[in-house]
Amino acid sequence: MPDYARRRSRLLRLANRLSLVAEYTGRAVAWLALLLVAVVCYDVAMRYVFHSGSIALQELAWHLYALLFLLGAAYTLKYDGHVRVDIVYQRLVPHTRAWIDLLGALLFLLPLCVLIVWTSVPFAYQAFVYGEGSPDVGGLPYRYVLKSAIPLGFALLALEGVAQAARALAALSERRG
Amino acid sequence: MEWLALVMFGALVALLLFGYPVAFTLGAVALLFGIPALGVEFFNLLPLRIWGVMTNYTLLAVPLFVFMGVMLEKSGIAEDLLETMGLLFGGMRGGLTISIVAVGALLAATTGIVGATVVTMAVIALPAMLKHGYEPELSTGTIAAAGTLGQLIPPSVVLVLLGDAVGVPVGRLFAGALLPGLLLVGLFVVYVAAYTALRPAAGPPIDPARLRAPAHGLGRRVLLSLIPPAGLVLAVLGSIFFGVASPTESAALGALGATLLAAGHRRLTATNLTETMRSTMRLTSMVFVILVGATAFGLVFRGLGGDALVHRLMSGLPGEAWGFLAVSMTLVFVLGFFLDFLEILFIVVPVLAPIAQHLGVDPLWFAVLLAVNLQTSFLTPPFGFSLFYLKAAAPGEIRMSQIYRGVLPFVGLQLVTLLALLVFPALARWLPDLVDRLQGL
Amino acid sequence: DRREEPASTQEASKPATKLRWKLTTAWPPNFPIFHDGVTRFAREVEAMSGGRLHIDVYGGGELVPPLETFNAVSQGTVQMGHAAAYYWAGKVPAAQFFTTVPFGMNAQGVAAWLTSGGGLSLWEEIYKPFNLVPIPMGNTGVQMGGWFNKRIGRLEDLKGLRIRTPGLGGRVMASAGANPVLLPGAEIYTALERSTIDAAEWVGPYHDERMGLYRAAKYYYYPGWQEPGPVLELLVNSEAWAKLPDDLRLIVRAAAATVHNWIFAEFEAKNHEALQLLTTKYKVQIVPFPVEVLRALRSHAKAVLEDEAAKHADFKRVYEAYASFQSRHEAWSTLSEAAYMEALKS
Ligand code: NA
Ligand code: NA
Repeated sequence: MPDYARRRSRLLRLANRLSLVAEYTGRAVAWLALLLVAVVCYDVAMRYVFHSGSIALQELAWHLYALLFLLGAAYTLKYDGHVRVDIVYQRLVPHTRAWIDLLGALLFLLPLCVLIVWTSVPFAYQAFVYGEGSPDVGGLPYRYVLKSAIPLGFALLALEGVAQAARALAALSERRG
Repeated sequence: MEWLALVMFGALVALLLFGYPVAFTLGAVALLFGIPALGVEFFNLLPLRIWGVMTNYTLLAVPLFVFMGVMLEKSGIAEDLLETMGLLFGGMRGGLTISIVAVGALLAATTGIVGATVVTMAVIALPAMLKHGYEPELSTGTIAAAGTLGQLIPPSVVLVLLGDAVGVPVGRLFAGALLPGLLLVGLFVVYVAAYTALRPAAGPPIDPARLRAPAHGLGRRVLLSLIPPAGLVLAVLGSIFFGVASPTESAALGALGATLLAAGHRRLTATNLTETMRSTMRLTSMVFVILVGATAFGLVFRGLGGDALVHRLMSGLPGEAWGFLAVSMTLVFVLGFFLDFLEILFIVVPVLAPIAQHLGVDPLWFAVLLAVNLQTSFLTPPFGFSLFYLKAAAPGEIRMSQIYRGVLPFVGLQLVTLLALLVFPALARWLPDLVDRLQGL
Repeated sequence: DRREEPASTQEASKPATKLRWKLTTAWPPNFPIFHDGVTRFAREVEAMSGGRLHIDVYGGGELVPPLETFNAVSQGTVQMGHAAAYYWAGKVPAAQFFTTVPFGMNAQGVAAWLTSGGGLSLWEEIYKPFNLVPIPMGNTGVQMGGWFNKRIGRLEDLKGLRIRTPGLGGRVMASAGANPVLLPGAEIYTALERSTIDAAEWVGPYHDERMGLYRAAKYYYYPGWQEPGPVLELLVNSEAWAKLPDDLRLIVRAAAATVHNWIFAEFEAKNHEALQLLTTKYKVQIVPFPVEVLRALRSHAKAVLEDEAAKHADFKRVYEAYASFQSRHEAWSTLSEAAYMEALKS
């Protein structure tokens, strides 16, 4: 096997292994969508049939949706679900597209993720230290759990960004062969 | 430093064209300009803004509506529904596009959450329209424009915020926006009907040979494929409209109803369910990660004093009513190419409103003009939220260029409405005045 | 009108350093009285300091979301904020006493407690771990009880009532059997109009009239037992505050005191005008809560406060100080305020 081909298969193996994280967290987090439907339906039933509402349930609903979009962002990237303005991109040959994905991951996505993780860890940590809960009496406690989803979600996204870069590099080395 | 804010817009447009995902391009441009000019410290404010997106529970309806739409689509119920509608209207050309406008108007009258309406309509209708030979440009343009109607047709958060900023009671503004909203619906219907009449190939009648399920008798189809899902959608919309439940609650019941319908048709397979959950997650994540990118961009725009720049641009506004209206409307329209409607509203309206008042411009009329203009900003390339949402929810073969081309005529119709409003202020004033008289206010 | 704001004066003769601070608020941009007070504060500081301290004012959502004011000032990226302490109940449950609590003191009483009854030093102590210095800057006066589409004739009418009223007031309503609903301010109108909710509480006559709530609800209940005299706060990051020269600190305090009075006066003046408009022009039915209902709510409020006190030590400490001042002050205000109000009726 020539050098470039070996490097290519190594890169692809790395990318696929990294992507497993996004794949399996994504599959697990997707259940939150179903849970969300169930929680809101249950709340509606309680409210309209039994005339008793619960602030905690109403909060749980938006907590679930925040977790859904943050922790699902990496899975979405894996399936190229983050929308692109593909006016130029669609006309490019795969080689050039790979360049864009490589540079995009390294120069756009990763710095953004690093910055968000960097700034949001203290943000979540503060909520932990102060024992922050809902400002509404009867709301949910442990706001730090929800706030931790920001650094966690963007760390997962960064990991999948590395996988995207590795995949793009693999595509670029293919060309040379 | 303010000029940097201007350069930042240029950089955004240029970099968006490379085709890397919009959300991350927005964030990266914010970093690129923000770190050198404002320092890394400044970005400690970013998690606060992201938290603001997470806690915006108005948007909770998005994943729920999307779940309903995806479930109807994955189970094939949506396709059956649309095909039956197509068969029912027989040889009618462009029948599906007219239905889309009608459904968009109904959705608009119940909620105004563009992410939810555009994505749901795209998921339900677009695959079937494309399969039956509808022109991609026409189909996508119609869905984007109809899905955005909710900004103008009450109830709408934009109108509430505008009313507060301009000082018009919300109820008056809701009434004032209704006729222009209906005018827009009318224009959309006339346009798609005329377009498909002139270019029959763009909206062909449903071909019975290409149906998903073999055609039984039409009556049986109507009974099984049309009435239950259409009833579900109408029940969801009706319950919001008549105040039985909030948009979020109704959307959740709609999702449950769609799941039960799928079960009733014996199509609630494990595959369909997991596919529905995962698609819902992907689409929801797409919508909100764009908002995260946009909030980073907005933060840096503020930090660089972009708002002061816009204010300075406005300080040269003409000193009489018509000149002021012309220039301010143009300015808002141009900002709409690049900025999110909330940013525009917050930056521009506080400055424009007192000037308008000073010049004796009717605040109600002015607010409706702004509402039409802001709604247009969802549709104007390159940065139109409706266009992004649609692109992500559309089948893979749809290109952004097709969406851009498809939506342009609708942007034109929005501008026609804006002009009509400028020429006939009664369009905005007549109904609220009538309502006031009837209520004895 | 922002265009008329004085530009920072460029006096070459002054060698003193010029500071440029950011202030973010918990109010919508241009929210009347609230935001006006803040821009007035910035203008006064600028003028009194001869341009040495320039403050850029950002409305809620412009720089950070309204309810992130606390965090933004606490971490110091933004030096100042304007908000109400009860918004931070999730982080600092005790803070609610520094705004208002159900059946607490009115503006006069709370001012006495903060200024001369040890309230402010307690407040400073509670905020210290968060790197925040609190300065009272405004009071809205007694608010209204809210807009209702159902008559509240007796206590049972509260059962299952879908009401939007945040914080402790919501908790009291819930313990009286109501059904509290989370709803952002921008959705109140629609929810009331379409009867998704039965009742909602916003600010007071002036702001409620402006939002047009009289078009969406029939009855306007009083008094605002849940918010009898909310104090607004100016937040200053303590590191920034420590670095401020003494004279500038005095200037900030002086401007805040002026604006504190201005905001209170504006509310009193605008609310009575709006009330007249609501009753005469819009024919709103202004209805008092029945005495029986108020009595029950008051005992629920006491139970809710004691319940919270059992959970948080700081809350308990401030509650005791607050309640003790309130009961002692009540003896006097019964003879002064209340008796005089009675005398006016005769
Ligand atoms: Na709407
Ligand atoms: Na746009």
